[in-house]
Amino acid sequence: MEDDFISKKELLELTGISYGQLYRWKRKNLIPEDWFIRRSTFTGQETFFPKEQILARIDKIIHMKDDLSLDELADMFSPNLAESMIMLEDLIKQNIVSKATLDLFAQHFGITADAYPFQNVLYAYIVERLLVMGEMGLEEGRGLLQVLDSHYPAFQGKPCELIFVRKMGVSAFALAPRASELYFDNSVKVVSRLNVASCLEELKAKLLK
Amino acid sequence: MMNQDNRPDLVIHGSVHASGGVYREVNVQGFGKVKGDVECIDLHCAGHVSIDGDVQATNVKVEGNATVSGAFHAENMEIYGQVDVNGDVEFTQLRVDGSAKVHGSMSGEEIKLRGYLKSTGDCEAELFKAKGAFSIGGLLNAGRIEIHLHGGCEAREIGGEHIEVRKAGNSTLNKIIKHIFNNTLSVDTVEGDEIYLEYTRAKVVRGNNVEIGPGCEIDLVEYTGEFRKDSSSQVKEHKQH
Repeated sequence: MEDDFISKKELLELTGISYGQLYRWKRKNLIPEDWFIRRSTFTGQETFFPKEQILARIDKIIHMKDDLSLDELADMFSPNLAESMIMLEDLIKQNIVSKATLDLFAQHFGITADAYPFQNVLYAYIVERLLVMGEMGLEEGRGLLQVLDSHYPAFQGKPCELIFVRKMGVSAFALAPRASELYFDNSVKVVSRLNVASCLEELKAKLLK
Repeated sequence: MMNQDNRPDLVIHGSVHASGGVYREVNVQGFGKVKGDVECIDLHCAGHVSIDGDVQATNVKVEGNATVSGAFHAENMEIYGQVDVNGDVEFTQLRVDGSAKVHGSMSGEEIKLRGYLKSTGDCEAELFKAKGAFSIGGLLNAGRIEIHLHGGCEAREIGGEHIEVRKAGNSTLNKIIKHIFNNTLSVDTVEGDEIYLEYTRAKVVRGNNVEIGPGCEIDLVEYTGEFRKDSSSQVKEHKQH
């Protein structure tokens, strides 16, 4: 438990940022409200953060704030999907998705447009990631696209996790609210668990470059 | 959105029940009840209005009494009378000369307070300037916080870059008021880069440079840069990091 969380004080000491910066970033929505966790300690109430997430986030903010304004950064970290349309050729040009994924994508959505909403591109990016990791076959990617397309909108930008399991060679995908504990029978192998919010951040970062 | 020229006005003189919708100007001089969400450019209330829904407006001026059951979004908000909002409030500029009660969180660019402000949740702004009284149930978070204590002020937490709390001027009226009201700030923690406090009761104050002026009672001060304390104030413990 203690390893997973870090107190505000420790965080500032570790990262070298000031209280003012932390509060400014909170105001600018660079750090989500629900990462500020209040707990009582023997000295009274203190604020804790999920350690891994906050350290990764602060690292990103510090390294990117010279290139991007705070508002642009906030936009990047925002779980709400960007409203912009993305040109498919940009995806290929910037090496964000491969031709194979794009073909799959085109088959699923029916190829007509040159540009797709950000949300759909996110699906392609997630498929691409699993393909690149070598854990998923092309045919399975088709199923994944279907799951994302029909169920991801229901989360309305709230954090969620993609779970990819296989049982006796048959694969299945599920979307679950983040940090939920799931139990499977013994013959189920959890191939991969993917935090959709961090995929989204990665994709936004790549597109902004 | 409807073309702005084609929008109708909603003018209420006397006692009227109206339905929500998209208006150019909503002007209430009498007693109005509006059912449904309201979107308008100007909302002016010199009488009494209660809106059962969300409100979205560019300019809001309340000289009378307004109650909103949902969320309130406005760019410029001026409150000389009384406003009671059940949801969150978002704004660019907020001026409260009367009284505003928010049963949610508030966020915006600039708050100028000369009356009374109460929010159940957090209150976020780039500039928070208060010459009145407030009660904030959550975190008061602003880039620059300037508080002149006129009446009792309280917040659960205060955080920001520059935080300054001073006693109000020494006019006769203030002296009289001081006997009736308790002109202090009570807060659990104050955290910021530059902190100057007077007449503040806090458990913990943390900052780079912390100066404790007169009339304070503080359990613990933690600082990285400089620390100064007025002799009339009590600080139980102070530590440099």
